[in-house]
Amino acid sequence: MENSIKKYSVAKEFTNYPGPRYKNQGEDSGQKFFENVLDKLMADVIEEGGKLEIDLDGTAGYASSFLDEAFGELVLKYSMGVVLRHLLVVSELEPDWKEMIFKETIPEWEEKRLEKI
Amino acid sequence: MLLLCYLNSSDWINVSGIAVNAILGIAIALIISKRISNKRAIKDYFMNEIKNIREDYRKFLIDLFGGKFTFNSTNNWFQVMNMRLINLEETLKNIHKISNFGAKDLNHDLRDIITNHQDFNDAFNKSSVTISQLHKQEIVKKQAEISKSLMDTIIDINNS
Repeated sequence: MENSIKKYSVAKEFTNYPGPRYKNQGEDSGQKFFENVLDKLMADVIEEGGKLEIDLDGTAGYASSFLDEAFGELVLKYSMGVVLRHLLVVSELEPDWKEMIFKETIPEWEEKRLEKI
Repeated sequence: MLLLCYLNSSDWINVSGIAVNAILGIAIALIISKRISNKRAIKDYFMNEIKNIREDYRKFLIDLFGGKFTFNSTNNWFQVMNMRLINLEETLKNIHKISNFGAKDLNHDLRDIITNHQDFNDAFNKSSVTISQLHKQEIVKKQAEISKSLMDTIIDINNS
């Protein structure tokens, strides 16, 4: 259904203690979050024509690497244009995470994606 | 008292006029000086808060380099500090009209430098985070920028 918003809370549905960048570094990593959660949810909302809202609030704190890996891999797979059309991020307590994802992570990983083509 | 007995009605009007003016003058001076001391008290409070933040950064780095922080406790420390700086920025803008509070963005840079680093991520399952010498230099440099930015804010508050 177009314009529908699929909501997902990291704290309530994934972990209260977001981990490191890669799976081989420890549990609940950014890589695991992309592979087990973001990838499938993004595929669903693309098919439905809706949006995916990720709520970052409520955890005990993030390493930059977790968010960079999770959202960066999303761009690598789907492209910046598609991600920007379908992704919403909520981060009321720390708005600068949202700023980092949209102003740094997404453009930087889009550059990597284009270099690979 | 004897003098007052010799006053006629026009003198009484003049005397009471002088008395009223004196009372009004004292009242206005008291109100203004209270407002000035309230404003000073608010400035002192925020300058003190910023000094506390500088000290917290210093203690954090000592403990981080000393192996007293884990992966999770580091993330939590930055989360709490970030929220503190966000609140402070908002208040400085509203009360003191200070709009160039640089420490918040610099804090984000410092968090990136530390938590994006491979050494930090490799320490997820360890009992503490170990920071290499090269990495320490980068961290200390950024912390010095934060310290200077906070000092500049203290000056701005004092001058506001």
